[in-house]
Amino acid sequence: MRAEKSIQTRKRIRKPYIFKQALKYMLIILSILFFLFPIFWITVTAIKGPGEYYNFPPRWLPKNPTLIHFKSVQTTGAGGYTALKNSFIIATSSTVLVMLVGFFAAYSMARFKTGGNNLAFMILSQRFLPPIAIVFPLFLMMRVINFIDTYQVMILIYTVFNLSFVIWMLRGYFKEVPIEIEESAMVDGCSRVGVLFKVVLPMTLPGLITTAVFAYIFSWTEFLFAVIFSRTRVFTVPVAVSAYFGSEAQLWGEAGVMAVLSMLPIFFIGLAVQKHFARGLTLGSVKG
Amino acid sequence: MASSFLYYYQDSERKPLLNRTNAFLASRPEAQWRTRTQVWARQHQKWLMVLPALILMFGIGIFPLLFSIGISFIRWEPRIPGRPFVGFANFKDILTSIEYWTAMRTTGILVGAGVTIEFFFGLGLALLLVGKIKGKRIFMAILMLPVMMVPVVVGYTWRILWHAAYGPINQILGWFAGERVTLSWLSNTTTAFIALIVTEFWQWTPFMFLVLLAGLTSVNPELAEAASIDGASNWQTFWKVTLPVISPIIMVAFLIRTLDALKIFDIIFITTWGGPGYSTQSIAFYLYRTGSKHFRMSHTAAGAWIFLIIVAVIITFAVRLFKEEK
Repeated sequence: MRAEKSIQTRKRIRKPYIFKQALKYMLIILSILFFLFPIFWITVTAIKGPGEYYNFPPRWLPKNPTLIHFKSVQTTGAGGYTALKNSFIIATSSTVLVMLVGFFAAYSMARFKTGGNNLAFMILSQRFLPPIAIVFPLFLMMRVINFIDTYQVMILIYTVFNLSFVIWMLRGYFKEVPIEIEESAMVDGCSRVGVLFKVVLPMTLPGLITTAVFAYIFSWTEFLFAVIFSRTRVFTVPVAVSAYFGSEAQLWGEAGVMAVLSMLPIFFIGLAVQKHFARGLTLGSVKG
Repeated sequence: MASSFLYYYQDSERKPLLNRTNAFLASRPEAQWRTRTQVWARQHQKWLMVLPALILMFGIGIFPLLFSIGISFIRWEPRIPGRPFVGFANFKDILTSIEYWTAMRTTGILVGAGVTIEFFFGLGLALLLVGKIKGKRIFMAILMLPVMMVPVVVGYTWRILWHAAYGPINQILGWFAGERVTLSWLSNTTTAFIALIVTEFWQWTPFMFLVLLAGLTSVNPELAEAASIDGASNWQTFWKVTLPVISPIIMVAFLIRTLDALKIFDIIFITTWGGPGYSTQSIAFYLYRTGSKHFRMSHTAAGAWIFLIIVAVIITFAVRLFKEEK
């Protein structure tokens, strides 16, 4: 009697359950399509010839895929591969610099409570400051010392631009290192610098890498400073894209190639720290 | 603590060490300077470690801000010779300009509507994915992609997608409508807003999703189990148990997104260029145009400061939230 009843209940539950699961997976597949479609579309635009992207109705898959835009991207305008090189130089140097400066500052703030909470929150609030408020005064300052359109100015700006984020993140990671470990290393004759590089660095390495990846992505994708501070010599990838496709030019194919090339390195390094991504996005308030 | 590793010596060991140091210094005067610097550096090492960061932040962050206060009280533009002091005239010009207020409204609409929609869809997706599901990691990886993309590239992509004749969106709408759709999305104010919000939505819903999913995953499953044993429905469990636990994370996600969305510039630069007319200009874009096209530095500075005051209020909230968490 009892067993019968439970089977009946199960049957009654099962139908809506299957329906629910089906609905769930359908929604998931729909959202995958929605989020992947634009990426798919630029990728095919990059390999379409001019006759194909100007085609009605739009062709989802090119009939004659071509690689001409991978060549013309360098010969048209200021040069797409030059932009990639510039972005690479600027993002890499500024990431190295910001990690170096941030490492010591964050350690001092985490371990010695330098400046207390006030300094920490002042630094955090800089992360939220709208860059438009400083971009023009900074431009006027840099013009005085003839720093416009140089690698140095872009590296410097991105270093500072990322500094508050990096210090805040690293401070969180360093706080998690138990002070006893550091003390026992010191009792064993390790100097402060030794502790930093032999104890703290290895223990917080995943956090350091995540933070560096975020700093890299910020410098790679930043546009406002780039468009104001770079003219003809030092222009980054976003500026190159906006030059191919903006209010003046409409070079769909070249911009498509630039778009694809700009995504690849970022996706690669971003997916490498997938596990720690949420922590980076929330400035450390989600530990995961 | 601050006095470095000497701290770890017993006092009885410390004295002879100091005596030896002094004796050494007395015997070699040329070593004095170096050693004294070393001692001084060791005493102040905690400040020396933050000093480079502070100098950089002051020089590139705070000093330009102060400089821009100065600029906002003079008139700095190419048409006007010299840089005369004008008092509050720049602020008055900005506050009475329709364009500035339109930009404020546009920013408000984009942030308000955008972030809210992103939140609800992000939460929905996170709730779908919170249990054990096949291919969860792949799904999360796919949703990480938009967040990492260059905003300029996102704008370019969507502009192609929205294109009246050669874009697939009109084509897909045409399939449903059964006739050719030739809506030019970006040349009409209402549809341009829709286009911008959808673009923002595409890039930043994954942000909400990833953050909220991380929050939901951190909720102890025993809590929900206990609630369901006590007879709570799924809906009740969500409202009464899950939501209160993740509400701090919701607040953090909301504030970070709001503060970042207030800076919206790149997408407008690429897709609408503020048009039609100046109806979709955001504050950042408006200030960029005043500054770079007309080189009106003073108006830009004044406008930026008015905007900053509003942003500062929200920043204060955000920082307080982070403080509570400590």
